[in-house]
Amino acid sequence: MIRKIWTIASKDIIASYTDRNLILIMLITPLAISSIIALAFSGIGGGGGIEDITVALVNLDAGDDEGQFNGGQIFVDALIRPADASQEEIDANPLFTLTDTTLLTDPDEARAGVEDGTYTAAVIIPEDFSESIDYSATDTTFEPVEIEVYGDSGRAIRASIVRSVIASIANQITTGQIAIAATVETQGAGLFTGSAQPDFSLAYADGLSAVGVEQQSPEGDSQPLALLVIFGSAQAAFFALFTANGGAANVLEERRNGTLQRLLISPTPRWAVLLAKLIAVLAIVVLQLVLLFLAFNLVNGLLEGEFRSIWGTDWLAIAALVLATALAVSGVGMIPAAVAKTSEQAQLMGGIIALLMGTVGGAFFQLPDGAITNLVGAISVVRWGSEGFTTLAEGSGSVLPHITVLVAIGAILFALSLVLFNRRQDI
Amino acid sequence: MAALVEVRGLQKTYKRKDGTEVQAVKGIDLDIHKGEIFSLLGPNGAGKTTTISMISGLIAPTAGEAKIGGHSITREPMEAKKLLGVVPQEIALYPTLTARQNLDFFGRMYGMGGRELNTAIDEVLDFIDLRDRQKDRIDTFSGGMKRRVNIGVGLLHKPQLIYMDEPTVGVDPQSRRRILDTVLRMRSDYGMTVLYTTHLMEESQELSNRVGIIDHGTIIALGTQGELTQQVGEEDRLIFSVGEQPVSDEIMNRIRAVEGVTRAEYLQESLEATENDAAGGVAEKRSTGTVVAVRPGQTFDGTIMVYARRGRKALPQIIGLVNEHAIEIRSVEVREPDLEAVFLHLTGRALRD
Repeated sequence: MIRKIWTIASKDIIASYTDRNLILIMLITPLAISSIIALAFSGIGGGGGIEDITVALVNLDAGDDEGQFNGGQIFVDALIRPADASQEEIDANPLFTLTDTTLLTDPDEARAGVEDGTYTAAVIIPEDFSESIDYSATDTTFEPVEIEVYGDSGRAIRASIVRSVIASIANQITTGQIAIAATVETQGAGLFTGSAQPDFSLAYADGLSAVGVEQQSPEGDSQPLALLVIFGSAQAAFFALFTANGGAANVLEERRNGTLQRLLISPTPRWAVLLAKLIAVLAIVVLQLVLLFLAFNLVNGLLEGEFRSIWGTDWLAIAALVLATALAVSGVGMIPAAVAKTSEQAQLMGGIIALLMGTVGGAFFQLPDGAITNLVGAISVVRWGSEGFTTLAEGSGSVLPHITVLVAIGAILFALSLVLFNRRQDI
Repeated sequence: MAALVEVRGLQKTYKRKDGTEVQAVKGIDLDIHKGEIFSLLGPNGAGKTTTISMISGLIAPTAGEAKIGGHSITREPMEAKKLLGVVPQEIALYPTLTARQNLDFFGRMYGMGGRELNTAIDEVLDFIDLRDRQKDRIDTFSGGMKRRVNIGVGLLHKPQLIYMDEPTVGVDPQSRRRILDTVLRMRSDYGMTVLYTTHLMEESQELSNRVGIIDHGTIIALGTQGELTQQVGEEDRLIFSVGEQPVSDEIMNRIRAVEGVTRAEYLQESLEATENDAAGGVAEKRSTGTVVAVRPGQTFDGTIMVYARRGRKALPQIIGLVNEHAIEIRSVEVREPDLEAVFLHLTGRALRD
């Protein structure tokens, strides 16, 4: 029986990897998208990545009533390079090299500077900032307060980075209780508004000062966190959903072509035929993820000028996470095919699910933290996979929770797919 | 003769979306003997495919049982299926695989492998005359060649019983001839038992040792061709085509008086009218028996249909009578009792209806 299962599964695997259209969807497209994003951030050929983003900072913050706390000054200290700063001090705070911040006093001047191209973004700290977030024995409530980030849509990615940096500092200050309404306006047409902006704060989540941009490798070398880690893993998981869905829909395609009936008439149990098909889907997705991750490393090496594993060197954890992600996306991809009547219907349903999971999972942009996005994100295998690989790359914690959740989702949906397929009278 | 296939009380009932039930197969009893070609003949929708799908284990019967080689298809499916090869009506092959790869893949599904499989593939490729194209992908093949590979897959494991579901549907005459010859060779070369479904009476007559006629989910006649045609008597049908020439009642009465003639009718078939045409005269299509409307002034094709015992003996006399009345006979056809007539006799409808 194992031989028969292997025969069916290997036939499907070979058929997938000899189909040019499938290769385009499975490998070329996610690789191209992720590489373009990485190139956009790497300063093509420069090797230094993004730096010296011009920012106008206006601190109108009057401090708290007691004159003891001025939250706006924290932004000033974090972003404004002291005139007498030594090279060592500058190197110690990556925000000094990431941004080239000028302190202004007039918000209109700052906004005008963005519009005439002098600044990429203007950050305006309101007068009541400290008062609103001040927490004392007599004032135990936080008032809503907004920091304005006025960005140049012509440099939307850089403006978004500024927004993320400001959000990160603010979160540090208030432990996440301040909402930042970012107003990134275009000069003419609104390109990014509200929560749809890319948020790259993940890349600056921990570290030095208020916001860090570097991670320490196990060898102690300072290595920048590759953007391919964030977008590559999310894109890989996102496109793997399509692969899994397409692979499962192949069962319906075979039913239409009559080959499934031919298999079922042979002395091969129905469950074995279906299991072989589902194993093939899993194997195709595993291979897709492995090939993509190898390609991401290659692209990153070309961009950085040196080749290294961008997901670190904990090979066991990497392998486990790849398998867990593959199992989860396979399970998610199979469900539509198990309930749909036709292959087209299955692929349509699968596409919608993939887009939903990709969107909340950060395959296109990072959604801001929030109760709803966190809740929806919790069911996104793209998000779990992407966060798992980011954690591996940062070396910032265990990926066991990610693996556990992914395996649980995958195992449940995988088994459910098999049961649903097996129960169908029309197959 | 020992029965390779035993079917007893086989039923299949489907539930429609509105909750009502439709009985596609209504309790079929059937034996198919070892080494025979058995045709299951019936119009489209008669229940042929449903019956065969139950016999081959593809769908579960609502009631009843089918056995192949003594193995119940429901209780011992793996044993029963080993004895069965299937040639589906549609091409059921992987288009991106080569002919050899398709044969190899399906051979493995029957537990074959190694040298045994390679030898069987070579033998089948020779049998279907496609050895020189074995390494070509199926999607590069002509329709006829695909049909041959489709048959080859069913033959590969040398099953005791091979089921062919209307394998000549939609194929050109040359390919059809080739397929029919292949079916005959399956029995002569390999000693296989063939279960052949068709709605074409001619194929059934040419190939079969025995025929089961199925209609509305029930076997309405079962036996050899001779046994079945006896049910409609021994009358031949003499068909005279006379074109647009009028045929009087006098001529028809004189024909009816010829020795051996039991019945004679003058039929007009419209050359243009369709079944939806408005009223006018009335004609009857001789091939189907369907009555169609003929508009006044429309051209028609007249036919004199004569039923006669020992028809060939009555033929010269009838030709003489028709000629006496200066009617030109354009063609004459003598049809001995056939399965078409049996079906017409049993159901009042033609097979192609």
